[in-house]
Amino acid sequence: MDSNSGAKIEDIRKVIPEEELPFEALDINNLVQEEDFESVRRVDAWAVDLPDPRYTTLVLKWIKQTGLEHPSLVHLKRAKKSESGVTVLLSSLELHPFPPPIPPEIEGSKVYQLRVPAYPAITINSMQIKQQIWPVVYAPPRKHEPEEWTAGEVKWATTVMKQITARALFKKVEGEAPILSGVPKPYLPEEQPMFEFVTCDMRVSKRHPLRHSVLNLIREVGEASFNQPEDPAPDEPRQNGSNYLLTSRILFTTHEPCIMCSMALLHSRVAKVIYLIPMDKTGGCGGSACLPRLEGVNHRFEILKWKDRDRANLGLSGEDWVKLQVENDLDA
Amino acid sequence: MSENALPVEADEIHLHWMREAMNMAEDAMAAKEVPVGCVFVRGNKIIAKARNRTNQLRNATRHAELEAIDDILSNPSLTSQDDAVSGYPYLLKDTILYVTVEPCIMCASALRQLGIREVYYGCENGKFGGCGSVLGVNQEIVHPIHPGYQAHGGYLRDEAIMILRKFYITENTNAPVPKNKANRILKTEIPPP
Repeated sequence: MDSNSGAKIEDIRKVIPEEELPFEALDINNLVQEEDFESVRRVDAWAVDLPDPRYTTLVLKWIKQTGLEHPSLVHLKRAKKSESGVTVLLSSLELHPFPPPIPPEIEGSKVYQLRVPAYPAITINSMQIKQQIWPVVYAPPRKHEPEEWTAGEVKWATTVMKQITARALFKKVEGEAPILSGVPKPYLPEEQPMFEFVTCDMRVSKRHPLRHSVLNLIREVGEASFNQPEDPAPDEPRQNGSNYLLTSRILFTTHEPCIMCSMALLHSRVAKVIYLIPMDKTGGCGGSACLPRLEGVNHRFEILKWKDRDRANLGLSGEDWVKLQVENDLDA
Repeated sequence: MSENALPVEADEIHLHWMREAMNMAEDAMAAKEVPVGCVFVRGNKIIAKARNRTNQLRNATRHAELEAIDDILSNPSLTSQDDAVSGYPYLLKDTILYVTVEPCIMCASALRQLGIREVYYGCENGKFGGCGSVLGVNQEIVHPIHPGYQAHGGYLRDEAIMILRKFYITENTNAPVPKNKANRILKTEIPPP
């Protein structure tokens, strides 16, 4: 190895500062701001006032034994002490539309509904505010640390996006919409990007209005998995979804995917989506909706949007750029 | 917005079609797939019926609705030949969907892109329901061209919930990584919508 290539390796490992990256990450965190009393989100729960504080342990044990524990209440302390005595939360109303049974030892105690905080406290301030309603656990969010990209990875991603746009333009010549998606093989330093899957929009050729590039790609991933050896390394534990999902993969696409395709990507557990052209009216990755930001969904993926200023890196002429555009009411 | 109105006697016809959808869900259960089934009804006739095939096809997007839509689109006698490409006039504008579980966000969007007339479903889908539970793709979300559609829940709701629970307490051996569920207990009480 000569000194030259040594320097090169140093170079490609250099982390690029966020503001110099050709794409920007959308904020997909969905943290409800609850910094004053009125804004605290609440849910209904069943509560009971204990006739004597010495029953607390007994009732807490009862909750465990009778299956009243539920994930929707884990952010709440179960018992609350006040001047009038001890109150215990029994169950959520969502789970038990009727008052749940109480242990015979405290029979006669009134079970009643209480509105308690719906989320844990993410700041000290909100914890103190919630304390006035019902004590909650303190769960500050993990600090947002932007994903680090090295010079080599940025160059790799730029080459991938260049190829995606070039192929999309080629498809336009064939009569399809110039929308194209691809999943490259994971980045390896010093290696040219390789696509594992590339699919275009096929609404025209397949005469099917739902043959969008992303759905076509997910279908191909599934079909390809039938040709792979069943268990290449039986000793190794199978990674979750390693067979036919997009776990830990990056999807590159020319246009922000529509709501249908964005949800298909969420179902497929993709790790990142990088797109060039936003679709403000129909997109599901920040345009019309932002699916990874929704409350309740069981997977989140990162969304990276190519910066307008960095279009030039893709080597597209002004004419090419115009050709890549689609109607703004189209679902990409 | 889901309306969650409890069905009354006038809804007998909807319950009739929902039973057909439930048969498809049972078919899925027998095939060790997540038990969701659906039928598409046009002119008082079932034009397509399907069930979930995500495990069989190794594709997490092969929900019952998309399976049935592909059947409809592959049958020239069911698609108005005018313009199947753009989807206009809307292919499903005279078609009603009956599905045992609220369509997910993906399917709700697909149905809107195809101009479905109306949707009836069994139980809500709190994880990724697209007709109001997680996102109102059917109506609330504004779309520049595709009109919204109504979705009504609560038809054979208890059955839809119970068959899902039965499925999830048995091990989904077809899932990418099966979980050990030997200690799970089937709950039978059903919370209100």
